[in-house]
Amino acid sequence: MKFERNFLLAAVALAALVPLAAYNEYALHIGIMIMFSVMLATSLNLIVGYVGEFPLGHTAFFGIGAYSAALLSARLGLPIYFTIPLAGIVAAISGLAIGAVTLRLRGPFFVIVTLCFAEVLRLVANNWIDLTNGPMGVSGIAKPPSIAGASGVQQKLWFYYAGLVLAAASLLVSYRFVYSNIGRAAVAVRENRFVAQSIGIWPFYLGLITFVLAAAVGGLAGGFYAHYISYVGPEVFGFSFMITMIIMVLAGGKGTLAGPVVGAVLVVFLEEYLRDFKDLRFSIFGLIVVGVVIFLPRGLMGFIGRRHESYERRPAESAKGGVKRDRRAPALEPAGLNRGGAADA
Amino acid sequence: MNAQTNILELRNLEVCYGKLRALNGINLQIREGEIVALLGANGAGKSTALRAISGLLAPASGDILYCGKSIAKRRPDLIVRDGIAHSPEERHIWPELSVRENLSLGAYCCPDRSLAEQRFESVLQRFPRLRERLSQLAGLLSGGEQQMLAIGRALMSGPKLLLLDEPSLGLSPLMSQEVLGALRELCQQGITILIVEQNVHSALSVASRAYVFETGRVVGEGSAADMLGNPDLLRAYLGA
Repeated sequence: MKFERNFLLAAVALAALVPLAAYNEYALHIGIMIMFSVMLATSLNLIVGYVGEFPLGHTAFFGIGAYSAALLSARLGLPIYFTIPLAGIVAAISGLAIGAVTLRLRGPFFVIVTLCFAEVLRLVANNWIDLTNGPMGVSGIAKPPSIAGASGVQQKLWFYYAGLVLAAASLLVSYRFVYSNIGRAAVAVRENRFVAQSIGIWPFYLGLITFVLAAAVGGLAGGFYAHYISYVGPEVFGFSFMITMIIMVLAGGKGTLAGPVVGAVLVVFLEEYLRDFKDLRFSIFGLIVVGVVIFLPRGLMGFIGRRHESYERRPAESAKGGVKRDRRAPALEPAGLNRGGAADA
Repeated sequence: MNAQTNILELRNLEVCYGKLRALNGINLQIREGEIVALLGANGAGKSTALRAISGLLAPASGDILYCGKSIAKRRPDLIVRDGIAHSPEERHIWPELSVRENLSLGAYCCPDRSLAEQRFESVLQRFPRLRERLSQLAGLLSGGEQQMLAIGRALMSGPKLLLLDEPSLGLSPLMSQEVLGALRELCQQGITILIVEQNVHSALSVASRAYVFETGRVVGEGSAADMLGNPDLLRAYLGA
């Protein structure tokens, strides 16, 4: 808990200083993509890591957020300060609706039905031409007026800090959530649903709260994306965003808050460095994921957290547990109870 | 009159797993403040009965009355709030959480912090071994300590009726005596206990009455003393 908090604080502080060292358009663009990815990965991780289900259609919320922001901005002319929060709210409401249906299912059924929702939304975006402009998408989404006349690098700087604020806010809310009573109860459900019920937890309700929060974070990411790219098309509901999210969460370590942050940084950098390999890029990506699943099944942060704790544990044991400590290992599903199994498939 | 003293009553309860019927219309009554044991071989339906009472399985027909009110279709979390705590089989604690966290999660549905704190203290008094291990991961405890933790966690919800599924499973005789002793004390404090056991003798040593299950039916009932004194019954149904 402490380790995680310090790690996240350090990461945010470091990120705030980065533009001092790398003040050019390319570096800031990478930074912005990292902020955006951190939000996406945090959002997916809330469900994969804390509900223990695997929503293969999680892009639905990202897409809903992106389209909401795009339409609110392009059609109604709302400024960015309203569209991005509204994107989060619209996504949260649809999370409530979709979660209320899908969370009654578990395992593979949940995976398939969430995927169906994303696919249906993609088809809607593609075909409801009056609203979404179909495959042409919504373009010309306004940048904030304060940077209208600014140079490219200044615009990027604005988006970088806006992304940092949004990502930090998402992480803060997730942190408060995970370490609240509700978050602990969610872990209890993930580890053993029946026992959780035996102490009076209602798993469906917990899952729904987590789902809505994850949807809201995903929606914020979508709104931010829409304004930064200034174009939104049906591909926001597509599978490629989903794959990126999965890799970030798995590589970083599901069920930890720091994991998705590390995963996001890793994946964005890898994507850039692997550009030279062109078509081979995704094959190499795939190999990396296979390697991670085999050698670090709990992800990078799961691995580091483990090490960290085994060093920490020894003195405590010799003190006979008299020291008050709040230690929490990242998710370890006991054998046979691995509800996140789909994630490894 | 009788309805008032019965804290729990099963009426003609049937429970099915899909098409397989696990309980064929069982009837039983449990009075306030007693310890009742459910005996029987594997697959006789004892654990199924407990799961049906705590709401984890929905009855196909029949009724479950708790303090005179039907709880047959109630949600499991609300049943816990009503005062029935279920400590499931194989002592499923959360191995990756500390003993303290396991216990405090037990008070999940208790909104009153000071009351939860009070229960926490009384659980630690009951099981002093747990106090020594508060900040250890629960997975590192011995089997007996895990069982104590599971019972302690169930007590954190402040139950009136405690359902225990095989509390002595896999414990050394000494440890299981310690656990059973704790049950006797709990009963003296006024908690009604329904216990499922394979080990007939240890079950009958704490219980005042027992029901014998066979293939989803209740085939015998009586006071613990009668059961122990009736070698035919023991041999016929339990192979003891």
